Amino acid sequence: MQRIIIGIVIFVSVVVTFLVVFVLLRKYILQIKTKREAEIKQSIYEEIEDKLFSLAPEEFTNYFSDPRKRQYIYDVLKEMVVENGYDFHGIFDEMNFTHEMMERVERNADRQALKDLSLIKSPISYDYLCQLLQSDDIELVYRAGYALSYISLESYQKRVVIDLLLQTKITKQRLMEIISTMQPSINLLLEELEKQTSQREKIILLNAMKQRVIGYTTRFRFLEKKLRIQNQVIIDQLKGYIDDAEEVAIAALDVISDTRQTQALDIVIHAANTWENPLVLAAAADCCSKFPPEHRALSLLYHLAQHTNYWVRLASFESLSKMGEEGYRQIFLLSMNTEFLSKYPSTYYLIYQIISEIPNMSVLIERFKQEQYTNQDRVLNAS
Amino acid sequence: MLVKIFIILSWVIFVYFILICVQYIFLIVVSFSRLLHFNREERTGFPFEEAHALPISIIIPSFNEENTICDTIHSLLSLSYPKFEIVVVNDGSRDHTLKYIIDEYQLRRVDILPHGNIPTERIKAVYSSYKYSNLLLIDKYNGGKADALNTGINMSSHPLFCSIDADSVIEKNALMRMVKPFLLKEDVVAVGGIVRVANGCDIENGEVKAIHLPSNRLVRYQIIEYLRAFLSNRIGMEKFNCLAIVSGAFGLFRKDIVEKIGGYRNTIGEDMEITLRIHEYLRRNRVKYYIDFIPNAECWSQVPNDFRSLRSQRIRWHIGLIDSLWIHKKMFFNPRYGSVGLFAIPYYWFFEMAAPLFEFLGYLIFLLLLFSGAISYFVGIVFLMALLFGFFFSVSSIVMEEFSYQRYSKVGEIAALILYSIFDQFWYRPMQAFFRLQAFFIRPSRRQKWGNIQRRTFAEDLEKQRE
Repeated sequence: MQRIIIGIVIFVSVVVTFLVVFVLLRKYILQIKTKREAEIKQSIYEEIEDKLFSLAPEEFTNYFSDPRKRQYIYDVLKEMVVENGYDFHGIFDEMNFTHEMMERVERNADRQALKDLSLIKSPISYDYLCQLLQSDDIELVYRAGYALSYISLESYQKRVVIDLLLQTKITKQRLMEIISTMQPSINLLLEELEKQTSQREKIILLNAMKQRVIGYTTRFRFLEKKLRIQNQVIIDQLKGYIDDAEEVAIAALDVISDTRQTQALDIVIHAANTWENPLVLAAAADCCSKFPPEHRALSLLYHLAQHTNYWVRLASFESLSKMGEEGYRQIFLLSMNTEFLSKYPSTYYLIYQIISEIPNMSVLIERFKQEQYTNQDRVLNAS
Repeated sequence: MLVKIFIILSWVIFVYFILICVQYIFLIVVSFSRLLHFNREERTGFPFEEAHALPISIIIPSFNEENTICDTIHSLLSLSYPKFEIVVVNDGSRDHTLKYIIDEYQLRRVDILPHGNIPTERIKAVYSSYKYSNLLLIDKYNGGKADALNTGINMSSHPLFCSIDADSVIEKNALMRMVKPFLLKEDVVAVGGIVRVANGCDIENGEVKAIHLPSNRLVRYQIIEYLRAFLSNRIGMEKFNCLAIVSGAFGLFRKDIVEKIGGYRNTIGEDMEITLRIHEYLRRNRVKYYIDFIPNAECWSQVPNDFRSLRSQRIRWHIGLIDSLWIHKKMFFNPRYGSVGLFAIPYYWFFEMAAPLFEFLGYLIFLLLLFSGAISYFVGIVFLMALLFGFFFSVSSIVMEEFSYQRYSKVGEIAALILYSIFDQFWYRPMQAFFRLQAFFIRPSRRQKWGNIQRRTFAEDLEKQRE
């Protein structure tokens, strides 16, 4: 028994010693290797930074022709793309990195290589990526779509890609992101939208339009006229979607209100008067904050702020709080409506929070009180 | 007579030690092969992205967490996961937890009613944010962690929920990794992640920027302990689908299953208890299921850095273990419950719950023999073997860490961990055994209390480390 135990002790000691030495040695070697690689990478980085914008892709390829440094060059270029958003597709193409990545995807369905194609942004990969969009593998489809969104494409190419994307099974949210990243023109999106019959596709395209509508006003008459015409086209085309399904209506309201045109406000008010669905009403309330604090918007919000659904009330109050003094006035009026507040006690707290966040709260409250007294006096005098 | 008892005890402890070594070696071998297989799959297999992510509700039960709660919420809001909501449950905190969250995230009170119907303590108010539409704060009367989790489940709106601690920071891609098993296999009901020690790490705005070995020695010993527990134990258990604990600090569950079994029970070891109850329920109803463990889904959590907090924590953990095992005692060696009943539960009974008794007795006997001069060569060799095996298990965990995630990048840090693994056997493990032993003597009336753990903000911890 004793011998067995001594044997076990010796054996375990040897194993443990081996493990300790092995792991420390391995760590040390890895550390040195990592340090060395970092130094090489740093020197390549500096060299590339120096030569990058002074050499054409062909000259760049000839300059950095050392095959041992190839992987480092690729990594450095990728890093620069990630850090600064550069487009080096010429260099990637010339140095054959694009083809290499495409081959890797083809051979091994290498997702990392496919991810790299979105950094490479090469038009050469366009056809191949479009092919991948029709793959059965959802992961490949997603990555291909993502990669395509970063490539600088012509309008007709974007149209093709959007058509292909809408037929895939990628989730709505991801599709919206991909299409938004592609930055298709509004006209292209409107044309695509006209062709769609299913709700899903309409929602995706409407949401993709959100970032593309310019609603600001400008001193430059020519630009203002151009924007007005463009926004009028958007309103005319999208107003029909207000009567579509709920999600479509919400997305359409959002885009229409982004134009900030008077007609857009009419549509929002019409939607608020027509729909009973609280989600749509909340969206309409939300949209009102994009318009100047005119009487119609304020009245609508005042009315919606007394809705039975909390989210509609919340959206209304939030919109009112963004509409400056006029909006605050409506909130003060609502705070005096004890019948309404007693029905929805949580609104007390909501009003309190909003009012406490107003920068010149005490001045506004005083002014409001004065107005109320003045109005009361007028009423008394009149009677 | 006394001598005979003494000899019998010694032999019992010796046999126990042999059995525990065999168990650990078995688990280490299985864990190691599983880890290599897992890493191979990660490198070459399906690097899942967001295309099919399932929505998740992240529930954070919070009690007196004013120092860390905002950091935790920051880290969650910046997760790279497409659809999730954060449900913070303020369980009657007596500090400024509630105020800090409301001020930080500009929350407003809302009229939202619970979706679920697990009985809980009353809710005082529900808050939401216009700016962070996926953040919900529930203020309720104190009912304990389990009650807070149940409230969170009732208020959550997604099919999966993830329970995390209020002082934890999870990696950006951790949720993505955790949800992967739910997509690849239909019958996954819960997934556990790995908890790592956040002390000494650079955590800014809820993100782990750099990982360092902390200067606090007590924390270093705990790092080794955590590596052993997660890398050497849980991965092995997961292989046989008998993972008995999905850590409460970071676990992802299917909400419908948890609701079916009535939510968390009000016990200290609620994480282990619910995992065992899931096993029990699904096996009893002969439902095919799987509880997975993802070793690279990381959650960073603060551990106690003083003896008092450590003692309090370990006693609490052991009470939780005892309670959970006692509640599910019918599964013990019950073939009806498959690998859980025949392997996991007995393992926890003998090699986790009873371990402090045997360890403590072992050390006591050795010391008695040593000081009485009655120690023999054989006893000395056996004791040396015991220390050596303990060292071997710790080093194995460090080796596994090095072959997988290499979170500690410097040779010096690994060397320090190995050195601490040696000293671990001489005082830290006996101290742990002593703390855990005390759990058997805590009065039942005191069992439900969590005790106090000194929390510091991550920034304070980093400052201290730099000093």
